[in-house]
Amino acid sequence: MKISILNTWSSKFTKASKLVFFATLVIFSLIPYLWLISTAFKPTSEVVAFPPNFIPKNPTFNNIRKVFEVAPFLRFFLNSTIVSVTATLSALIFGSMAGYAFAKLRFPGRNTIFLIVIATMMVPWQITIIPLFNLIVKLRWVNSYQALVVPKFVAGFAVFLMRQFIMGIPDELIEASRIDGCSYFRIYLSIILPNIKPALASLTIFKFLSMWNDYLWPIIVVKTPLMRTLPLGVALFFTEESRSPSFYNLIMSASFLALLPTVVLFLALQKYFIRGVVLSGLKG
Amino acid sequence: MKTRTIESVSAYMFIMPALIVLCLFIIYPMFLNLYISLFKWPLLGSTRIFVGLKNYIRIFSEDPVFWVTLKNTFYFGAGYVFLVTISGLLIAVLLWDMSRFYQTVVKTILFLPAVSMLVCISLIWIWMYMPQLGLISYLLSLLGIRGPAWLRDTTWAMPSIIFMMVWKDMGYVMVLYLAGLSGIPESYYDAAKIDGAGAWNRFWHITLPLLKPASLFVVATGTIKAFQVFAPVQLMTNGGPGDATRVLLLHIYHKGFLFSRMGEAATLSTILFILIFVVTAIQLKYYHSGFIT
Repeated sequence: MKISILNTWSSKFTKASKLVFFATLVIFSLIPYLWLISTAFKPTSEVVAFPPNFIPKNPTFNNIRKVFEVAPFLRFFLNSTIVSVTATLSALIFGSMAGYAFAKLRFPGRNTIFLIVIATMMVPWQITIIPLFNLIVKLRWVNSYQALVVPKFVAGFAVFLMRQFIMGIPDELIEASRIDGCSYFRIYLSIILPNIKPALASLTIFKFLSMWNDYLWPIIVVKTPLMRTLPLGVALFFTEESRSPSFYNLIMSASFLALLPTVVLFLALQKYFIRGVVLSGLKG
Repeated sequence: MKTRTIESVSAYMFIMPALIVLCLFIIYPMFLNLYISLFKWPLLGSTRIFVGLKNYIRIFSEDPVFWVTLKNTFYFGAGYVFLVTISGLLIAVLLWDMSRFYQTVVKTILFLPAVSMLVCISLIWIWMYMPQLGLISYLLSLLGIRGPAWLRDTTWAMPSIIFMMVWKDMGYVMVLYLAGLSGIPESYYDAAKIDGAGAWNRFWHITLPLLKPASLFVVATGTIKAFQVFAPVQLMTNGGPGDATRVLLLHIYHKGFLFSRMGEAATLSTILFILIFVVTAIQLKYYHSGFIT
């Protein structure tokens, strides 16, 4: 059905050659993951074997077990969860609150303040790591959950995204409740929030992923093993252990465990993930 | 009158939390960064010496590594953006007229790296790029090719990292282009067909120009992202071998947190910010409303 729509030079390729192309592409995309799984379950003797086996001859769970023995891996999971969930919740709440005010309420300075919010979107936080760290030192927050979470509570992008969606809610819907004597907070809870569920879902996925996967900020503010988030835990695993090939089954096991939650979530909620990440691409 | 006041006060209360966070953790640090860049400022301790613009002068005239990192940042940016855009576009156009089933399968699998933890991805590729024992060396040896030492080779380290990042993000770019393609009306092609335009012509004169907003978006956001690449270079090569993969953000991180030169690191941050700002400004100039929403 779609074939008639586009008909670009892509129709020059026969169906068969396209299938071959996409099969190759899919394999190309999956190979690193398959190699990860293969290595994660190999005993050390097989890791260094040449030529390598793709399917381990004697698959073992020892590496996975060892990951939990040599590092406080559950603690890393816990830290990542605390940090990502808190930051996501705060972005949803603060972002939608501010978005509501900018979209539907009238107050002096609204346009100016909103312009400032937009302007903050042009400043990537990565270029402020030096002053941010300085600020964290002054607040005496080094190596704490506050340091990991509070600066990430909300970004200009979240406010902007929420405002755009809330602007789409018809005024009549809000006016009616106003006449019924609802407070602004009541309107926010009972009319605004239920009407922007898709936007909230997208922001949840985007914010959670960027928190869960972030490496730069934790590496700057975390100083002790017990405060490490997953990316840091996995990475420092790699540098602390020897970098010799015989350790790669351990490193791959750690990576496997760290990747598993997002990959499973992604496969389950594929549609929402793609929408969430694409929408967040509007940032920038 | 009174309702007006209530509305304003409520509005301020609604924006207050977000505004405090933005002021304290984005706006204030931005100015603090400029301030720090005027000092000789150690990581810890309080012996801060005002040096004026000396950090800027030093970096431009006395720091040969700065020019190398600048060159590497552009090298990575250009290589990454060019390859990821071309491959994303190619895949999207080829995938467009496939059945829904194939689309879903390809989208799901190619998008998987985009949501995966970059640290883990980097570690997997370090292992695959390993000379001799690595998977890539092995696969090449099957073809009778003796590959270089990849990440440990001055010439090949940067292309290796670029290749990995293109692998990671091409699915994401493909999805953006698919969104762009869905906005092209069918009638355009019918008209072109009646006029007897061939497949190539239709691609060059209809598809590509109409995908311009999508392309601009992909290139601009890709460039901004590329200028801030950190985890892969830090983990895979730590800037090496030599300075072959030392990019600006890594240089900032090392200067500030390894060599305790916060002033110089802040100066470098300002320079990186200007680079990113130029890209953002170009994007804003040509970008009118989202092509997706």
